Amino acid sequence: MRDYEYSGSTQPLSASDIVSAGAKLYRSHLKEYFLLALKAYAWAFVPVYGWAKTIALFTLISRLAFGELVNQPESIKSGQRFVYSRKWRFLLVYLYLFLAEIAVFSLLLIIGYVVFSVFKEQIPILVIFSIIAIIAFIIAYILIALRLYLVEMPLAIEENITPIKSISRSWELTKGSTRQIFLVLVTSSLILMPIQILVSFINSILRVVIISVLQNNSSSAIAISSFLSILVSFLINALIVPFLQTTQAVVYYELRSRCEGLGLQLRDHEI
Amino acid sequence: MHIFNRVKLDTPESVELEFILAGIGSRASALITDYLILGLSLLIVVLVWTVISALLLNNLGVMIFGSTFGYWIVGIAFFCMFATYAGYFVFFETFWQGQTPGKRMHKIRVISDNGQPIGLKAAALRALLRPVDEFFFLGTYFILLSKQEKRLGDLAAGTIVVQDGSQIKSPNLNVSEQAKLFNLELGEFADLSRLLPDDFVIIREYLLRRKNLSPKARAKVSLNLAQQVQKIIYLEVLPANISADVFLESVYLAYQEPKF
Repeated sequence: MRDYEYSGSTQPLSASDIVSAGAKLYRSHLKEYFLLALKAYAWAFVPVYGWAKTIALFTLISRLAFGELVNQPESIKSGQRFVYSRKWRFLLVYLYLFLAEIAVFSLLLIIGYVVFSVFKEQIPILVIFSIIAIIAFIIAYILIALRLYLVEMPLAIEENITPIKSISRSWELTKGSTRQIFLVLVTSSLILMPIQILVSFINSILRVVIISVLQNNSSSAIAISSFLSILVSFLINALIVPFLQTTQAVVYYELRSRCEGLGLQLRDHEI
Repeated sequence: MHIFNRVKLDTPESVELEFILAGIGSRASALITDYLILGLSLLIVVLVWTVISALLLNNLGVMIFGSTFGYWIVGIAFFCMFATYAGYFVFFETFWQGQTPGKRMHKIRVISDNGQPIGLKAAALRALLRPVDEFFFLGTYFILLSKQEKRLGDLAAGTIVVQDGSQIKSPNLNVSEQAKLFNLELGEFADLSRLLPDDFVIIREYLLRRKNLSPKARAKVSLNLAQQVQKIIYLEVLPANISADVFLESVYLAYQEPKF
């Protein structure tokens, strides 16, 4: 049940290799993962209940990919049953993060307000303060976002887990790996760039065609073309998201192997 | 499943070689690195040529070459830039045996379909089709969707891009003195022949990887492994005076020793 190919090499995967593995995983299950992503997007139209299902289905793609990585592939049906049973917990993870974000933002706003009212007269100080504050904010935001990259993964895989625990697991696993995760995200967005360019190309062609077919710039032409471009971006997002999810699964797998010795187990003698 | 795509090649001597394909991630990173270097080189070419032409334009050039001198300056500049752009990949892939600075950095290499290093012809073909592959990023789709990760240039030149094998070297394993001592004892009261080679692979894996593990995970994994070994070799209790880590080390040592 182990991946000897990987176990045989003690070298940690590089960011590029992680992205390649993500792409390979997606390629080998293109249709299944794409349909799951489509279904997830469809649920997004239903408030709250649907959103929980959307997150659960996105995470299901990561779960299935992880199953492939540890050579314990799971059927979509049983995986779906598993993630659906935890759908409210997935939603809670994001709710907690959202609330935390709001709390932090309000705190920062209050600090900013205080600083500005204290140094009301001294413009140079305020300018320097703002520049430093903005740069520090952006860096801190990115660093925190990287640490929270795996936020739903533990909830999708591990036993005995709560939303809060899932968040702290992500924090724990990504410790010392932010640089690598950053590189993974940069490399995968590089690979997605061609697809995004293709989409905007298709969209502009659609617009031109519709407007020339309808012979005018009327509101109906604009409505039809914007409806079509929304449809196209939905399809394309459903095409892209599985790649991001499988890549996330590889990162999770790699960090669990590297930091927690996942797969280091002797054969089971009882069986 | 395997994390990397593999490919088996038949050499002209009908030896079968296995390679790990480079993967889209490494290829994209290598390309970006190469383009950064190439962009920098082009900038230098332009700067140097600007300085030279500024020096020459001091009427001296016009005196020698006539009134069309300005066109020549621009023409030569374009020629130098094109030569740099086209020559970069051909030069490096030919003389560095299929590597460019970016490929070297990301540990990948271009080889021919029969496993041999690529020559000038293949490198030139790849470079020639590069603009086509980059038109609407066609190459990306080809690499993503073809089985051997070939872009058009690779298809035409009969090349593949693989991971550079030289990176795999067997790392050293440090074992504590305590384990070396205990190893002698261990053979007396335990029958290690019940362990299979696969089990030793895992123990070795652990010993190599343990320094990267978090302390909590390390304690858990080593204890688990020690208990599993204990069960396999029918040991009643784990030796109390040594840690699970040392126990695993000595099991590993015992396996390494010649059994005759």
